[in-house]
Amino acid sequence: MSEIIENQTAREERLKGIVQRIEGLPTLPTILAQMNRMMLDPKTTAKDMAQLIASDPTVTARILKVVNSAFYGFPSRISTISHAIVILGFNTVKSIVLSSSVFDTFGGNGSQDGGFKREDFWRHSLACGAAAKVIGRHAGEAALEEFFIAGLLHDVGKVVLDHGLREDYAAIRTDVKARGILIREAEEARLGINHADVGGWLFSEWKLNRGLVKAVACHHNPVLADEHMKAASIVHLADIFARALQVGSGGDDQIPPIRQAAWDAVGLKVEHMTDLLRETELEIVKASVFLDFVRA
Amino acid sequence: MTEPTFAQTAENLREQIQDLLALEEASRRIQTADGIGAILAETGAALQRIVPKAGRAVYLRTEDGIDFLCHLSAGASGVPGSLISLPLDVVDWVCQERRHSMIPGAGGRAVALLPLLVGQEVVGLMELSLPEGSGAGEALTQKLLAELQYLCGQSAASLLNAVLKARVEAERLALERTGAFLNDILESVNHGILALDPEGRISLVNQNAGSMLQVEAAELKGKPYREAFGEDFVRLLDSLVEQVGVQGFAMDQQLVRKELDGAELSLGIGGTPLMDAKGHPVGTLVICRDMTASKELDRLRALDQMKSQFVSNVSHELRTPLTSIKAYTDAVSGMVTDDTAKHFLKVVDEEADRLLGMIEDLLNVSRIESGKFRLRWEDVDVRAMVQTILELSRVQSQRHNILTSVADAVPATVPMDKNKMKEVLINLVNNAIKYAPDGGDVTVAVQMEEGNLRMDVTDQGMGLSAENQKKLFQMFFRTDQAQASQIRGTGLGLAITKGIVEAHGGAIRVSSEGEGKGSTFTVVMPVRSSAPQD
Repeated sequence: MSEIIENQTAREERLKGIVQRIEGLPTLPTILAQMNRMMLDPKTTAKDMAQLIASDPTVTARILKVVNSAFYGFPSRISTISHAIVILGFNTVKSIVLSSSVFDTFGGNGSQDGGFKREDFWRHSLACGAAAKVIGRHAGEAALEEFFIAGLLHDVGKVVLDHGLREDYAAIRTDVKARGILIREAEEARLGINHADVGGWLFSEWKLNRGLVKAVACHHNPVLADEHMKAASIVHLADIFARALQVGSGGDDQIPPIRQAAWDAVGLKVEHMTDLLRETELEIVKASVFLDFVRA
Repeated sequence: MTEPTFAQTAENLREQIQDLLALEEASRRIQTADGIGAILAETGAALQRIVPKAGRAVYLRTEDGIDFLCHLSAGASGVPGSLISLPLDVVDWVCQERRHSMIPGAGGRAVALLPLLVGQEVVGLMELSLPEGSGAGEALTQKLLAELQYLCGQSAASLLNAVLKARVEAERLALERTGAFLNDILESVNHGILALDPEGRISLVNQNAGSMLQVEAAELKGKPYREAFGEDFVRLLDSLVEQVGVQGFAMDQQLVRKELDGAELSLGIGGTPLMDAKGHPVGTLVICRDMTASKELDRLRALDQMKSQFVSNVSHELRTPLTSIKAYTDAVSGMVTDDTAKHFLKVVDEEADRLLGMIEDLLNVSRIESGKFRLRWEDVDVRAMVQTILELSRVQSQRHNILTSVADAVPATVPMDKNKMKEVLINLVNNAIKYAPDGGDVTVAVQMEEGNLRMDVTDQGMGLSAENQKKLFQMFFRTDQAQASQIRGTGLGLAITKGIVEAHGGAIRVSSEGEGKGSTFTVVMPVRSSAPQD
């Protein structure tokens, strides 16, 4: 136990060193900052929030596209943001705005040497989000989209690193190819930290909710997520499901082993595995509207 | 947006604390409410406080789990006692996604539909109808949604509890009714019943057993049977329990008890293993029968046998003197020349014949009853037989028009007992004549029907009521009409006819449109390929 704590402290120091090297680290998008502030006031109405969102036509269009997509399958058309907020809740709309912002910031093509294909990366992310939603449902969880968003954004650290430390990351990709190792292992070897640390750090800087921060930061080692271990475990399993389904690519084409503690924390049954994978494939199709964020 | 001042923040906090306290109080009241109605009332009151201007309705899942039934409604679309009337696709979506929804309602109102969730299960729905002008966007704040969701959760958990409690109570009542019903059966059955557990304690005893064994049934329960009864009965039970244990049953044993009035009560006591639903033995069931009733039955059976024996013997004994009377009458009528004397002797002869016929009937009846009725099978020319009967009948009555027909399909010969079947036809034709005192047509029609020989004898006589048609073939039965018309008969002819037909493997039935409308007797018998060796 003490060793882990010591390691963590050392990691945090290393992490600080790494992120300081990153130039032009993306700051919290303004619209998200404003939404955060509004949501602190309990008297904020759906209409107030809708007025804020309406100031950004791109975000407005994206929200309406998502809420009317098969992802929510609402029986009638939702035509206004305030209607969307009323039906889907403030948090859901905020999540959509968050993913829209992340896609905007990191969505375009990254390094020009073409090693890190954004389209493949987001497809893997989408599959992981879909799997997280399905696993959450099987695990008896309620707020399923929060798992979706956590899955969708779990690898945000990879794009942050690719964006900010191009040369290092190009070398890491070369290592992955040459040595046939996991991208996480290559990151650890070269930087002493991995993309999960960076993603967690970014979301924590953006003052996003602790559950999301922990799920992203600990998706490779869920026992470190404290009270959010189940969420982190769900994302951990979802990441592996997405790799097993071979949808997109997370930077390496390997399937890491499932951590026993994560498996136990979620409480899935082996005999449900076929169902889970089939449902995930269906969920990927329903959620494909999110990929339009990148293409647009 | 400007930062709020300290005073504003403090005021906000104070308001929030008040709201939380009120919510907590509502939650407490919902949790402590007893029964679905009270929970719904408290939920309604809480809604009234949170959203005063909104109409509201609460729905619970129907027992089959398919639909939602409205239990409470005020200013919303729901009608208490009716199923939910909101668009089904929205209801389905709310249940599937387990999140609330908002749809346009009547008169510009916005309708919010919230699931009542316990864990993952949607136990009911809450409908809020928000008035015109306070559109959903303005009405619903994050705080209000959170409050509503909290309230829904509290209400859902309490309602589910109440529903389950009501269901358990209903099951308990049903079980109680079943128990009472089983007890009624136990106490109504004509036997004494005693259940012993594997340790020999009395686990159940009905009132009948108590009175048969002259003990107080209520005091026996739980006592070992060895301490509860007298020596003789304990010895009997010992052997009974042992037999049941060894061979799985125990034959009835006799036990005679002296009643208080000195009369003897004869009991037959038997035993069977007592099994539970899985077939495991859980004791011994002892059944005490009052043998008085079955002794009475034995006596009646013996009496009946005696009667049959008597009829059979007497008929034989009567026939001998009658044969002598006939022989001597015949001899004497050859000697006398006086016409009056001749006429008298003829009457004596005819009456002797009638008596002989009756004795023959009685003999047949006793043969049929005792199963000693034997057929003499031979191939019979049915057409010739019908012709004979026609001639006999014409002699019997000039007022009746006897018509016979035999279909071409009827084979030249049919195996049967010639004399007995002739008797059947004579009987039926005689009846047709007898019970049509005003004359008319009597038809005898013989035909084939699906491989069977069918003979119909139809008259235009007094007919039969539906009631009498049922009893007609019973021994000694005579219709009131026949008796009122002073038509003579013993009530044996049709019983014998039926016996003969049935001995041939056939059946006889009667049909009549009713009294005064004539009747048809139909005999149907299988045609065997050749006379059976009997």
